[in-house]
Amino acid sequence: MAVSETEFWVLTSLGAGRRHGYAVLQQAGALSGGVVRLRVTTLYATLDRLQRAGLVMAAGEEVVDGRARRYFELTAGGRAALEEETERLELRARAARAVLAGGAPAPALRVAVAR
Amino acid sequence: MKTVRQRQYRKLLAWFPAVWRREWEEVVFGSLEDDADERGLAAVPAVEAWRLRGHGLIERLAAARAAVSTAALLAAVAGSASVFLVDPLPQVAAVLPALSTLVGPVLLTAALVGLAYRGGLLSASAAGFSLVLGGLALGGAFVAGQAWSLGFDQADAGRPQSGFATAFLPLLVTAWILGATALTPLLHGAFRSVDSRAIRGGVAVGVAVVAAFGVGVALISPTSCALAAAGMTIATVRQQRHTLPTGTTAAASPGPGQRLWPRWVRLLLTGVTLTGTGVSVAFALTGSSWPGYTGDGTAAMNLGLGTAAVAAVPLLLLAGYALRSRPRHRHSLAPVGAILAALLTAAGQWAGVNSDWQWPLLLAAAALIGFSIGLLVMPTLPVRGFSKGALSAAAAGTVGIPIVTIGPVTTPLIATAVLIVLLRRSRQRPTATTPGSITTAEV
Repeated sequence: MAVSETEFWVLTSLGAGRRHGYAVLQQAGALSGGVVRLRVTTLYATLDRLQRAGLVMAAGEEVVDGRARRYFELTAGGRAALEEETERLELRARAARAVLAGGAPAPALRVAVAR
Repeated sequence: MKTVRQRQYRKLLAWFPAVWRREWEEVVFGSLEDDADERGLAAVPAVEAWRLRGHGLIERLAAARAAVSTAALLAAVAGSASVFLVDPLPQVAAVLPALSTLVGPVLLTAALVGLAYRGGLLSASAAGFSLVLGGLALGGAFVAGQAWSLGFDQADAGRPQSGFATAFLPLLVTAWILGATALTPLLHGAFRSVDSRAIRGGVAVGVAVVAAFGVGVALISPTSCALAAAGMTIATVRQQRHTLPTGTTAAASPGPGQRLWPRWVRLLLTGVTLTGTGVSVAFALTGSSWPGYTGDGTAAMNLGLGTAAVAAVPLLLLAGYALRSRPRHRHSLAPVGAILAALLTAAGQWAGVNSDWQWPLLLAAAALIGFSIGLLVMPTLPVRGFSKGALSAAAAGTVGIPIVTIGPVTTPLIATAVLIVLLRRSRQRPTATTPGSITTAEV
């Protein structure tokens, strides 16, 4: 399944392990080099949707300085979706680089791109 | 002690629906506070406050999409009812079409936007954008339709077109552009697998421009609007069924040891209805040629159908008795409503086609029979609150008039079917029956 950009960054932020909501937001900003700046409500709307899709699950709660924190982690399906999306992006990036470098894409890539 | 910012965030989160707040409010509040600390905010900026309000409203819309699509269905059906009200209530009949050509389409658009948001095709801000522009587009289409209608009437009467009538084309084009703009974010989300933003944007705009006209026409057409709203309501209800507590859809079973009327009473009541409605319908169709009858065919039809409605009462009594053991009193109320509806139908038919009372009486009967069916449908619906009431009302509004119109004619067939079931069941009944094993399926 194709994931949206916001979903991609949320899944990627959780790829390294369990994180609470605000840490996901910070991680997405850091991983994207500051290009992505998720809003809090957008983040939780995305987490809610990914939870319902079975790609993410809640992994505990705690209260720190009077503020509730809910932790999330990828499910097996979430990890598979992230891997699939990563492969898709890599394939395209490789094809683009090969063309820009003046060469033709490798045969395997040609087949895959044609698909 | 709460700070100003905390109080502001709490107030803003109140714009979100209760079901969302139960699940997310505390963690979202914590993250909003973390984020505000990092940005060094002492108070919530106005832009962020409006964004939160808008997001809350879209969440409410998404949560209520079943109710909204049901309301769209009701509006479309109610608007179509204007056909039946031209004679008895001309003022109402003149206004009602707006329900199916404006209110229904706007509600359906809102439900679709809620669905697209819930499905991740639209962000909250894009959903708000599409909702506002979609509503404006439909408003423009409605006004354009009025202008076209006026121009048509004026041309028909041989009069020159008024300024409003000549505004049809600009209004239509404006509505089209607004509709295409409203559709674009949705299509942009739908084409997410296209990596190039430029290509995705171009394709979304191109398809939106082409599709907007067809989508708009489909939305403002009562039939397609009603069908789409019904489909969306059913899909949403099925989707939400999984999230409801177990047991909400289970119809109650009769209690043990329940006794039914004796078999001969059930057979007698069914037989009376079968004979009475059979003869009445035969008279309705052929009474004008019966010896000794001096009325015309229409009067015979009215007299026969009215009598058939009265003859249906014994069978309705039997149905009411069979439902009496259900724990919810509305099961008993439904047959009472149906019996009253039958009597009103009879009064309406007997009043005759020339009477001012005929249509009001038949409409009252339709409303009552629809209400009764709504009562029966209500407990079986896997939704709660307004959705349940609205869906029941939709069932009522949809079937009331057809039943009052064709009910007297079809009752002999129903009575025959019931009689066959009664005779077959009594023949199949085992000799040793465990007390309490009789079910309500057995009338």
